Amino acid sequence: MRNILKLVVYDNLAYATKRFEKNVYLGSICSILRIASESDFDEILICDPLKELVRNPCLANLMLHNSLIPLSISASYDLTSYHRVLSDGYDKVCIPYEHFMKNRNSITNLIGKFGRQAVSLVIDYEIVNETRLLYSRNSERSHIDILKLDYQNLSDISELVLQNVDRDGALVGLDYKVLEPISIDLNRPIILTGGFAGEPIPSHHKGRNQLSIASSTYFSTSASRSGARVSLLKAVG
Amino acid sequence: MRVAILPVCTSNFRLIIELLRPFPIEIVDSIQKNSFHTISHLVLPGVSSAAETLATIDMLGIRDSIIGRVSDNSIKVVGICAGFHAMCIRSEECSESAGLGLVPADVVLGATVHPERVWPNVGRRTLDGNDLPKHSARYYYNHNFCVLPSDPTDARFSYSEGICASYVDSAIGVYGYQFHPERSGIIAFRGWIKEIFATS
Repeated sequence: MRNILKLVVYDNLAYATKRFEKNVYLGSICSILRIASESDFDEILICDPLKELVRNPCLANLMLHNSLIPLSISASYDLTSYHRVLSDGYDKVCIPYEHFMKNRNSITNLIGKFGRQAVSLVIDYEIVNETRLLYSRNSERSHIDILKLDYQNLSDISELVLQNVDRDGALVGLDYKVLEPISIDLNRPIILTGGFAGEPIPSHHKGRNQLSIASSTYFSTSASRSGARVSLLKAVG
Repeated sequence: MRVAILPVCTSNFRLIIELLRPFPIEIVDSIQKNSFHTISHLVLPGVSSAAETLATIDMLGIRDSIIGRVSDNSIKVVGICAGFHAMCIRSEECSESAGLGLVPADVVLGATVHPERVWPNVGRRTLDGNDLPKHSARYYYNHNFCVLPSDPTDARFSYSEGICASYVDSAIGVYGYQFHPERSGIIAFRGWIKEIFATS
């Protein structure tokens, strides 16, 4: 099980978010990357909702050179920008579902050049009347039930990032129930994010190498940093 | 010691150059066919495909020089992930081009030989065994294809969870790594630098 630190970029700084909105200031991104490079994190997931790293390539490069652990970028960039960040040395790009489906042919080309392992798919969702609906920031509420998506038809992606918007920053625990139908349909790594509070992982998920957890908890919790880190590492085993 | 990183345009070669700069290593900025003989170490980077790596080698016209200089023991060749795959005999990923043949192995789709696993194989893992200091480091993997040694008993190969993790033949200067040492944390990266470049 991978232990992934999630950082959200706002104003060129790192934040933890609540429902995707800027919430807790974490610090300078480069400082955090240096600390994380000496810790037990497996990867870092950088979320760039405002595409700041496209406008500020110097910061994007500085981040790379300050990290000795894998960096993924989650953002709705144009194809040229995805190509550029991968060429610069970022390990993966995580592409939101709607953006992925709209640009599928171009993204297939991207996969052809960099390999399937370099492209992940992000599914943001919210729970409405106990149904998990695809969440879109830029449009009205979607009526797409994410449990009914055709995951068998997504064989060209390497891994799936499932992000619960309701729980983002709420520290109420991850939505493990979403995993059951999807993990059976899709024999790919799955990253679950949104709400992690250091809770114990259900034992039937803990032993599977399919599941990983992404969270800002290490840097954003109100508990002491060392205590939070210990709880996070224990939780992900 | 003059180290060149193969400039595969879809790889992380620029990042590797930057990460190597703090070490006492002379980095060669570009590779030219006519000055290739002055290079002591060639690094084939990852985050790409074996096909792109081999295409770059052929575009630069250095395939025969690499193979000849390895047999003369006058160059060390280091492959990371897709670079490692390009060093093998052949790869399912690039059926139209033979590999360099420096590593006695083929490259196959991981899901074919290890269907019990989730692919791509991604995350940080230790090497199997515990007899060397490097076995305690956690190395980062992210790959769909994997190396299948021609002789499974060949001691030059090491494994992680049963998947081929590296090939080290220091006598002839051939080093292949399935994992990404440059993304495995500071301790693991420094240990790797020491193994390859004999620096402290």
